[in-house]
Amino acid sequence: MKLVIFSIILDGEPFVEKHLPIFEQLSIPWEWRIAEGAAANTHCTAWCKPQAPRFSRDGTSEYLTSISTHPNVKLFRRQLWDGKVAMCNACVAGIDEECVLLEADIDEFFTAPQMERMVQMFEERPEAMRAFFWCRYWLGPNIIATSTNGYGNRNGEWLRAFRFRPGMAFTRHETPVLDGNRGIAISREETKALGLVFEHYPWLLESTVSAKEKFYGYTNALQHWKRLQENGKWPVADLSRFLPWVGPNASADFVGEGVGADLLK
Amino acid sequence: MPTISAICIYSGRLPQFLESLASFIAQDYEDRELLVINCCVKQTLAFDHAKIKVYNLKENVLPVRAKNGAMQYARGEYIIAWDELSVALPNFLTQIAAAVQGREWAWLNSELCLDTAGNMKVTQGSEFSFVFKKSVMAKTGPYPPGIRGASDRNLMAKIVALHPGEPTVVHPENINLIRLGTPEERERVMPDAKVGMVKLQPNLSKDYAALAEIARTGRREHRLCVVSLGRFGDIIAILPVLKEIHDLYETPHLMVSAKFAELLEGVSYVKPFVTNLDQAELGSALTIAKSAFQIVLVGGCWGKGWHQVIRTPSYNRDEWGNLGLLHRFHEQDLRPVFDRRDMEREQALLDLIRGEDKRPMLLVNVSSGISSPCPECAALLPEIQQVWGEMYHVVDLTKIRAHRLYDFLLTFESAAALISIDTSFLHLCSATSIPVVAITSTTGKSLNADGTPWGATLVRCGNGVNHISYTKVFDDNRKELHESIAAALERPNLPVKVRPSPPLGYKPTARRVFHLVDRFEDTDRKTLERKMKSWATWDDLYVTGQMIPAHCWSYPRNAKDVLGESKSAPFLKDLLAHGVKQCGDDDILLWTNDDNLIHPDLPEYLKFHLSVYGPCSIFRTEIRGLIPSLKLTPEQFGKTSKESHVGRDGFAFTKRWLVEHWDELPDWALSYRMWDIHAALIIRQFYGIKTTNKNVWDQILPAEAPIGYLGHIAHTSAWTINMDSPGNTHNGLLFKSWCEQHLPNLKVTPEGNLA
Repeated sequence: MKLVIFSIILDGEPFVEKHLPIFEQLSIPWEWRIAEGAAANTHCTAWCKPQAPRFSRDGTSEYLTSISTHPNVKLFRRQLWDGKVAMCNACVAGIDEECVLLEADIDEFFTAPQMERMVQMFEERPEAMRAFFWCRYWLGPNIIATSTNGYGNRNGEWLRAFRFRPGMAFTRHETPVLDGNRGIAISREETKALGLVFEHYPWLLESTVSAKEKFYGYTNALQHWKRLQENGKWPVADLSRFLPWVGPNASADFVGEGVGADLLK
Repeated sequence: MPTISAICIYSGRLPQFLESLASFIAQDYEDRELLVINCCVKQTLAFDHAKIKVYNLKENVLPVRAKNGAMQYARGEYIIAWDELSVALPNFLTQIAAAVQGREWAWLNSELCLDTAGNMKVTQGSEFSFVFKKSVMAKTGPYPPGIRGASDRNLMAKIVALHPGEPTVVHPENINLIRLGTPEERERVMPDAKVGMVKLQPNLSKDYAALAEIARTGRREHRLCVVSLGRFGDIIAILPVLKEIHDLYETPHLMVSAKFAELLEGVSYVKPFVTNLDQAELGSALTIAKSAFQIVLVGGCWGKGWHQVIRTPSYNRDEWGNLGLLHRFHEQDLRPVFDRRDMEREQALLDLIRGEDKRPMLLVNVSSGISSPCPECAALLPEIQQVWGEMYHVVDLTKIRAHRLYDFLLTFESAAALISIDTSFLHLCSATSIPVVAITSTTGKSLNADGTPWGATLVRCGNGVNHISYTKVFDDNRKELHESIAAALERPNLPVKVRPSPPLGYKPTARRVFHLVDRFEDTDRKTLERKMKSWATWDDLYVTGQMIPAHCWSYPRNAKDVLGESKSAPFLKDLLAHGVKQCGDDDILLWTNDDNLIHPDLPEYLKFHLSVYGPCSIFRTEIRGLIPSLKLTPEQFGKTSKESHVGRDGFAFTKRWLVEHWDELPDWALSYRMWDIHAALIIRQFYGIKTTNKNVWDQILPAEAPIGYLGHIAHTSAWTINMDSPGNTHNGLLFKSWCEQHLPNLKVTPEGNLA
């Protein structure tokens, strides 16, 4: 089965340039579909701050243009989308065969062998319609969320892979709901047992933290994040002392100097 | 195949009927006949066609009685009612025949309806999509009474009751019947005012198949059509342009009059679009072409409904101007190419002409010129024979008949010279290197700006051409004529050099269009609202990949720092450099203001323009009030505004051109006055167009794209607030100094504004 990876992007540096070299290692048929532009705060992302229509301003646009002629890459661009769900649906419209659909947010990475294993998993389990995954949720170059069923890997997170059939469409992006995709889901315990845990870098760099502060409206997010980076006592059992929005049962730990950033190299 | 008899009740609605009649004639189903029952007694219809019979009634009768009366004359096995207010696409009767095969009746369940606004939609099949076996009437009886189609529907009901069955389902893309007007619009169509004898002239005024395709897909399948309704010579004269379009963009359609379409059997690089219209009906032809093609170019220069701007002394040069290639008129390797010659026919013709005479041939046509006749010139032939006939085999071409005009090519290639008044030969000879003496007319009512007559043919290429006008050829004992013949005979007739076609596989239409815009944060809400209306038109093109955004938010230089301006503004060349970095050599960079609406047809138009011509500037269509629909064609969109604006809102270049001409472009500051006009004049200079204070407002192909591709919602421009600002002064001085060097006659103020 083909693997179709889709991403929705605005200002995706430094992550955006890391994906294609990984995909090009795949030995299975694949395609990367990308929607770029600002998403209006509507539908499932109505809680986000309003966005001015634009493309990326950090070099992502230019990078996407440079890969736009790659035979396995399809680009969809609008300065203003009717919410993130419209971006997702632009990506999946026109897929004309059954495939494994992988949502790859720009700061999320599976390795090539992991993705091949994922497709094999769906082929071996024809009854399975979607799959959940654990991730290593990076809160800085050195810090990972260690919550179980808490911030970073809450209950119900992370739904990322679907058995896609033509005609299906998303009705939500956060959390993803693919209309027409009903049936058995592969749990994250099962996918973890197959080694399918992805790297997730939402709070890796100062630049990405600032962007999230603007888009999601987390007040003083950067300031709080810097305090976490400067923390010297590990593990942190109550992450909300540093990042007030994380909710209960959230913890974090230090994993080694710059390991997160190194992984991106 | 069973014969189908179509019965049409004509009630005097002549213009629509002529379309309906033409569509019957165009049917590809052979075994058909049309019985036209003329119920409009004040008119007597006259028409002669093997498959059409017209019955002019002498007294008023109800349509139902007329139909029943017609049945005795219908010789077909099947009967169908033919609507005077419908157009059937050529495949309609074939489709009907297939549907009814082996049955008593068939009813196609869908039709198309074309309203007067040009909208087309699918509607339910009417009585005009119902065909039945004539023999069923033995059981049903004749058409029962009823008006407004009720009679047909009542008969249909009887037939279906007798022979139950299902309608034939027709997929929307297979619908072949188009009703003209909605039911309400058809009700309002009044009979034509003509009285007495009416000679029918069937006419299809639109490409209905293309309209149906557009309605179905939203896209014009065919992109480019050149309209040239002239004679053989007129068509040959523009073949070099058509070949350039074919080589550099795509194979163009060429709309030609039926009488002259045979010429195109000799060329592979045009798709003939044959019409019954003639040269005088250029306006009507353009209307048809514009309904079916995205890009329409005018290959003629006169006709009803067309205003020719005279720019040169010769009409064929102005035709090249209409086609955008006036600046290349004198290129020797741009020739008409006949790549489907029949060498057997040509050799046979040459052998016939030559006979046993081994002397070099001097080909002469001085007595048969149709486009510009010269009866007196016939007297030149015996004189030419007397002076040159000893050394040369003087051939009177008027006595020679060829199967096709271009069959003369081998004869031209083998002859010593051609002397002709006939413009078809004069244009044909430019496909060879035959030395030519062209005797041409300069009569005509039109004048150039300097008062000299307009209209002479300017023969291109050949191997040297001596032009003599009709008015001068008899002067001074024909001295100039014979000197010209002598000079022509001195020149060799060598093999012609033709520009080679680009290699196979080169696809210029694969060019990408990059949309280059300088962007900055807009804090004013009203401004943002206005701009977002434009940005929505960009997004429609970005999301389909027709344009690639190349927005620039940060710049290496700022007018604020460099020029001491009060607000930030970039320099154009920095913006261009941003675009150039991202695109390939043959890609197109389109710069617009950040508040221009972009017509959806612009990317494709630019692919054509930049492929065949080169860079261009684009005028705006100023919008006040409601924004016109972008479903209008660019021409229609452009006509929604009566305002003229001398500035340019868009520029398009290829990267290759920009890089080559980089140093010629001054270092303009964007958002200030004059740089756009300055850039437009540089482009005009590239094409050899001399700008004057008057023509700077004009759209001149190919320097300026046709109007209607960019819209602009009217507002006060920021740069007009302080005309002496550093940015305005900077650009003004650049303009002034450039004009002093390149356009010294252009009136410019000391500040560098147009006077």
